[in-house]
Amino acid sequence: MPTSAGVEACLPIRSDMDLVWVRQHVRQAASLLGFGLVEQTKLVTAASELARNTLVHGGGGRMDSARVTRNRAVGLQLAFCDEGPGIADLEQALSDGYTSGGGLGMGLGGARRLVHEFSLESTVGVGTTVTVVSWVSAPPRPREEF
Amino acid sequence: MGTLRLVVLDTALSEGQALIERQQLQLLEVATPVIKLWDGIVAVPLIGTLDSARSQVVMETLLEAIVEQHARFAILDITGVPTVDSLVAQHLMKTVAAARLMGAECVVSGIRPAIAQTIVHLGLDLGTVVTRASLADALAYALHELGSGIISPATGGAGPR
Repeated sequence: MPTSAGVEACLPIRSDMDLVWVRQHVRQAASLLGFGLVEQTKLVTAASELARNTLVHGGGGRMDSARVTRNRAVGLQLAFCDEGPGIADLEQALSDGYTSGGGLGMGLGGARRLVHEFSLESTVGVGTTVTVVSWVSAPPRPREEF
Repeated sequence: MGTLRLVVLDTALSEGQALIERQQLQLLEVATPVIKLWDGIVAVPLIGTLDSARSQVVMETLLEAIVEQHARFAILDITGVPTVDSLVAQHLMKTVAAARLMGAECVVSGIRPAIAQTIVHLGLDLGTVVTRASLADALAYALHELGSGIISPATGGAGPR
């Protein structure tokens, strides 16, 4: 039974180099918890997108990772927090192709499709927190879209 | 004594910073060789994280190589890239578009199964880019498009396989 050692962490997101740390940590944590290669890759990619959002749009912040359990299912929870300008229109920000930073506009919506649970809290002028959870096996996924 | 300590600390820190900067520059240089695979076919094996600085270097060296080698095909092999997110995909597509302007067709190879699934879930559209599973497939495709091919000696005659 994997424990939380090596999974729990709070990583700063201040520069491009920190994104490398975030990706490496998420890959390691996902591997420790027993995620398969595909799920590992999905999580790392989602973390990469969200961490870049934190850096580019939020002006830097941090990522908290934790091991979570529900009904004997084990999962990895990643929370990305920043104290940036916040997101005024959540629907617009989550829609594919919309970008305010010169990217492809696939980051936020794409990250939502790569994980099992996705929640976005943002207050204009205060900051944004994106929390994602993926479950190791038999994900309890009550999800509306596909 | 306190001043000396501060000076020593300051020197050590700035030396460390200089070392890191030198190593970053070294990394940029070593990480992007352009290999001539055949007449008119060049390949770039991409390894590690493809951030903005590195993808800029890749694009420059690749475009120069296309001119030098009169390349018609450029193969970008991403076997060594651990994560393909939307920024990496954007860099790849920009490189492909720039190469196309130079008259070379780009083939992206080395897309692993896990990465392929991730790209699909992420919603990235690489439909405009020719992709192949392995470098060998990409080379075979480029050779075929150039009108040459590799014939097995078993059907053609003598010679080592």
